[in-house]
Amino acid sequence: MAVTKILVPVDGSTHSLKAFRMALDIAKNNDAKINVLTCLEKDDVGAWYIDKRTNKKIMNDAKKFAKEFLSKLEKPAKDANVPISLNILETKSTSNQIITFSNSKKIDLIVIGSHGRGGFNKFLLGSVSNKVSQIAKCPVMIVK
Amino acid sequence: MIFNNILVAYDSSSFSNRAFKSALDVAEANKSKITIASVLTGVYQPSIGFTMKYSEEILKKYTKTLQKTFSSLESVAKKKNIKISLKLLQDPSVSKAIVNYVNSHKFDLVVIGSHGRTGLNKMILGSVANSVIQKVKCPVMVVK
Repeated sequence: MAVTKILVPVDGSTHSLKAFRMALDIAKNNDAKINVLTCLEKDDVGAWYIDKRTNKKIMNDAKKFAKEFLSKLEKPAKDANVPISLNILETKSTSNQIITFSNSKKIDLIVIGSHGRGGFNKFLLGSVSNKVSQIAKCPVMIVK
Repeated sequence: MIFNNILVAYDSSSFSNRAFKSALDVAEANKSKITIASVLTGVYQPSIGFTMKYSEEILKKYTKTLQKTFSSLESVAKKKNIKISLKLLQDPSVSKAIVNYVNSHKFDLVVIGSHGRTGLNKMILGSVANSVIQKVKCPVMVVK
């Protein structure tokens, strides 16, 4: 198993940042490339009844915010000499988007945090990491 | 973070063989130690009664076959200069035994196959893999 492409789904939570740090270590050892993926959920935006344009504005703001956040990850990757590509996608289902992304880009390893932003229960897995670990076709590393 | 101690949950199925192979790759990059854990569950025997106890005969038979497969794994690891050891656990519940052993010892990574010997459904995870992922406190890598 030669790992050349690593996917790290990042949502800004501490678990996902931990996963990113671990992915950097693995990429350093294997000379691999890192793909960072952030998914923005369309359904979340609840302002459609006010004005349709508000929705677009919210999405644009979210995109800007995500871009700003992801650009912070570029520096540690550069320090470690790891090539990195940032992806921001709009989607209806985060977990499905992660899986289709990993299939289409032929990812060798997914490094994912055990919980995202919505996790309450510290003993079990978050819903997104659970679904990804079950359905993805490549090895999945779950970071706690 | 560097993986010094790696645990491979092993049941001699093809999935766990693949897990062992990818654990070897990780160990080679990090110069880490591998522990192979196998769980012996009790076998129902009318002569003992309903308590799933271990008769010595069967236990001996099982440990013998396990040590045979372990010696073949050991020879593979020795070629790559990786330290390897075998740990036999006894518990009626496979997942509980693995989770307890991992949480009470210092392991940096658990590598587990997505299915074991009894997996039929290829879409989702096997039951042992699922509960190990959810309950173990260190990073887990699921190999498919």
